[in-house]
Amino acid sequence: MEVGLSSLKEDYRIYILRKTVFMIACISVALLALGLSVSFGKYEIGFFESYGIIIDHLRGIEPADEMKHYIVWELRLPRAIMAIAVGAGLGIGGAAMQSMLRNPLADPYTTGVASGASLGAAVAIILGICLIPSLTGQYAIVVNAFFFSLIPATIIVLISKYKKTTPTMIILAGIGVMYIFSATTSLLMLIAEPDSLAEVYIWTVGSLGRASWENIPLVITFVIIGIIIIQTNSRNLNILAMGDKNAISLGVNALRTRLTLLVTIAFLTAGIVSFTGTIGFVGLIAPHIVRIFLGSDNRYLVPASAALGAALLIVADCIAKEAGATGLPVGVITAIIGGPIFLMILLKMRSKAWN
Amino acid sequence: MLINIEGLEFAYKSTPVLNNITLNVDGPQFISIIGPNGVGKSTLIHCLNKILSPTKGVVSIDGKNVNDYTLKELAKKVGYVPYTSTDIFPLTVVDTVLMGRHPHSRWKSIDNDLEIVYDTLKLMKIEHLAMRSSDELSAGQKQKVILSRGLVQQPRILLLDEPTSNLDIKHQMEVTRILKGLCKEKGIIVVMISHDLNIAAKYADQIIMMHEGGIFAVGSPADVITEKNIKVVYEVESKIIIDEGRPHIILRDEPVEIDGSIDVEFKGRTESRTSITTPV
Amino acid sequence: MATIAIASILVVSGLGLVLLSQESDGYRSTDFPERLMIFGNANNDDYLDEDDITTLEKIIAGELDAEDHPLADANQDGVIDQKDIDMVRKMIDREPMEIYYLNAHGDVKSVQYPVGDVAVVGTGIMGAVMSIGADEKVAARSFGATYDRTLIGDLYDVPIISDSLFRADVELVSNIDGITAILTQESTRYVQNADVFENAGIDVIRIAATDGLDTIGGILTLGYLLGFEEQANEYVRFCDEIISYINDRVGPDMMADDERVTSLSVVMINSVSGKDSAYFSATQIAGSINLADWDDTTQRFQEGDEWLLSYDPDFIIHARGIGYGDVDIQATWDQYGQYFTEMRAYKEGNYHILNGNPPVIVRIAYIASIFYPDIIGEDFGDIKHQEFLDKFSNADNLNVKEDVVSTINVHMLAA
Repeated sequence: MEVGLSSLKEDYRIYILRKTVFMIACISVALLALGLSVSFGKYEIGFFESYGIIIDHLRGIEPADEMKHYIVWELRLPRAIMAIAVGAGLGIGGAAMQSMLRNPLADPYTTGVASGASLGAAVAIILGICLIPSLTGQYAIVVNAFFFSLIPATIIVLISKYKKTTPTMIILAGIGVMYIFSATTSLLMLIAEPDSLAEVYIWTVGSLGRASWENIPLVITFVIIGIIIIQTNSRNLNILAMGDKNAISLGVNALRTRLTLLVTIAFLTAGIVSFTGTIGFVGLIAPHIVRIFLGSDNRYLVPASAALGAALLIVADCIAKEAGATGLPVGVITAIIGGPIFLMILLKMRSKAWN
Repeated sequence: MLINIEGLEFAYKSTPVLNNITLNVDGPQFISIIGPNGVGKSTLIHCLNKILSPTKGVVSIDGKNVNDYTLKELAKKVGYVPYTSTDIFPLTVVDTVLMGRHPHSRWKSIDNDLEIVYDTLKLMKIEHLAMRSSDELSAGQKQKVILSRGLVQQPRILLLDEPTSNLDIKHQMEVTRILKGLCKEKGIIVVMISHDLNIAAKYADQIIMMHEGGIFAVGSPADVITEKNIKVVYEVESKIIIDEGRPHIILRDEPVEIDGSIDVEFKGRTESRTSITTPV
Repeated sequence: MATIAIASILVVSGLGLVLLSQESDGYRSTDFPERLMIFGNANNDDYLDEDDITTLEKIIAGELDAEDHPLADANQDGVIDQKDIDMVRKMIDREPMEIYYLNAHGDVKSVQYPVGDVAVVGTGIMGAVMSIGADEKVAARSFGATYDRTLIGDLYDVPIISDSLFRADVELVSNIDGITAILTQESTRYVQNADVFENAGIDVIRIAATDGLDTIGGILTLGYLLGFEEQANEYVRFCDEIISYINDRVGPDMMADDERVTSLSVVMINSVSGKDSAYFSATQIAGSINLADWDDTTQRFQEGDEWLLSYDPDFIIHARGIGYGDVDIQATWDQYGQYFTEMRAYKEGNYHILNGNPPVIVRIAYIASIFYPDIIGEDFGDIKHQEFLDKFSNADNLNVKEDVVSTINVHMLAA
């Protein structure tokens, strides 16, 4: 092997290593925050005490204090796991959307999922109608939100029979549907009772409070499937970014890949939103922050965005649990923190990444 | 390897672009496609690698209809170097060129791929740029990167759409020479669209001259590039000189003299008032 | 023999007459100042009568301090003088005239007495009007199915003058002859366009009808303004008797703090009442110690929240407007109880959903009977509720125990 080639290999290996290190750092932060989050909350339970409770539970020992056990095991632990899963899902969804649509403002809700879910929830809460008639209460809201949130993506898939699934088409179709749904939701909220109105609004803001051992397996399933599919396509995303013509010449079916990713992200986000409402900014800023350190290679951007998204969300939720007199929904915190961070990113961002 | 084109037609909505093209290419050679703007050169190329689907006619590669190939199978045989480099992504040069290995490689890029990339970069004399970000390069360097990406694909047929438009004459000749060499060494068919008639004339084995959506003339450079053909297809007066068996085109036009001057400071001394006339 | 018979009948009848007249002299409340908010009520009791003239004379003579008698200035000219006495004299005769009163916000307002027909905006104030029997004065009402048809009877069918519970539309009001005033309740949410009406010459009378014990003064004032004082006094007596009954048993001086139960109250879906809320004071009046220590009117306890779990009340009272119609008890229980399942009060069967539609005073009776069934009596709430329905509402033949869901607790659910 000549000197030139071996030094290239060496350089390349270091280059890859730097990216891997960053990813590991993100994952570590997420795990650390996960570990700490169990001791955050308005009810005073110390760090060691909360772990004592968890370990006792795993060993099958009867809890000494039922209330504390309930709080740590039924409230905080599921909520922390949900934060990791949801943050990862939103982060990876955002990265994939931005790369696929070559648009820095894209996020997982660009497929219209948010407006669909809000409408579904509003229909369940205000009209008391569920797509599966026998369901009521929280189940009804979740089912409605899920199916309604997929309608915009379905419409885009249908339109794709007649128009090519270019980034522009996807974004415009998403916006069009979003307006229709938002208008309908507003109409419903006009005729709603004050109680229902408040409930819809609070649901929309985005909260991890509804996490429970019952619904975590579902969310995790959606997120894991979503991550696998997107990561598998991350190389194709790189190639897609070079233009459809190049992509085809390298053996990548541009239109079909985009459609596949669109459907995947729609399902992933729908599976999340149905349980949490619309938690904003995580899917938008996680990829941007990762890009500053890792560049735009999707093979690393995508998983790192998942890791950073998880870290961001769980930190935000720790803050949310302690904020104000009663705690705040995490959606409020991500909005408060996300806005300024996004502006800071703008200052640092290499605009060439988007040309 | 074979390229067979039978009765190829293509139209954008209702605007016809290509009509009734029949062409057979057999065996490794360097082909240059020339013709005026908008005559359908790029469209023809795009029909060969499934970027576009012909409205009529059949395209076969190695005896198999192009439509029967999957995109990936076809990409293993047919490489493509596009016209513009505006779609270049802010990846490192290595990563950009590595993408060309996509049709051949598995999940992780293996050392073998890196070797191929390195060899190609060396061939293009840009191996020193390997870890630089692609979007920070000059236009000429970018073009070489895109070329490299096409070459690492190790195709049997390489389609190029004006691959040297941003290069200076030294590098133009360098690249074209490399492509010609590949024909011989690796036995591939090179199909290159070119606006530079002299370069085409100097290196191509075969010239395809297109006119009004169809093929006007095919043959060796000397046969195709004639004053009469140029007059008909390009509507331009010219004079052809044969040098080393290859035609060279000298353009003819009425000269117009305009008097103007430029003051120039050379290193260390000033030249006073040099008059420069703008040549035709 | 006949003479003795006639004589004894006469004597008995005479005695009976004497007894009767003493009855109709009736009940006078004396313990509760600042309820009748009419200027001219110089001595600050529940009545506008000669006693007020006496008080005015004493103020003018310097024997009493004007500052202790905020309602003395009958004509609102800033001075306590003979003019006020003259005006009060006319008021005693209940002459039609312009008078001044203090509304629910503490603003001084003038109004033409007696008030003519009114348009009612608000379910609470509608209930108040109904309680004093002033149905005939109601010429219109605001929009909304939240007016309980069972409770207010025919008042439900009066013309509607808006498209929202909280509003009145000037045009629609002017289309109805005889409406001289808009009658509404204390919250600023109601009749936000009051100035439009005032400019059109229609008074906007804002009376406390929903906020705890202020409603008693509100009804008294309302009764005066509409000319239904006797019924208003009857209702006030009803309220006062309930309060006395409770106070005598579990009032501030009757129990040590450690003997009392602790409580929290909840309104809407999961809004827990703070120190500023009406329900906080209701639970205090009912003899409990309310554990809320926040100043806001309410604080939400959402799914996943922890903050409420640090509080450990014996009882949780959750007020919902269940209404007087059919109620799905199980569904209501499941829907509203779900947030509180981890609280000790819930687990011990002391979480109660309380029907928020009966008037405040009845609700207080229920709350007291829930807290102290042995001292107050388990049925106290039902008894007073029935009395209210019989005497002070338009509900026909409604039996509280059989026809109405007044409270829901775990013992009521199907096993």
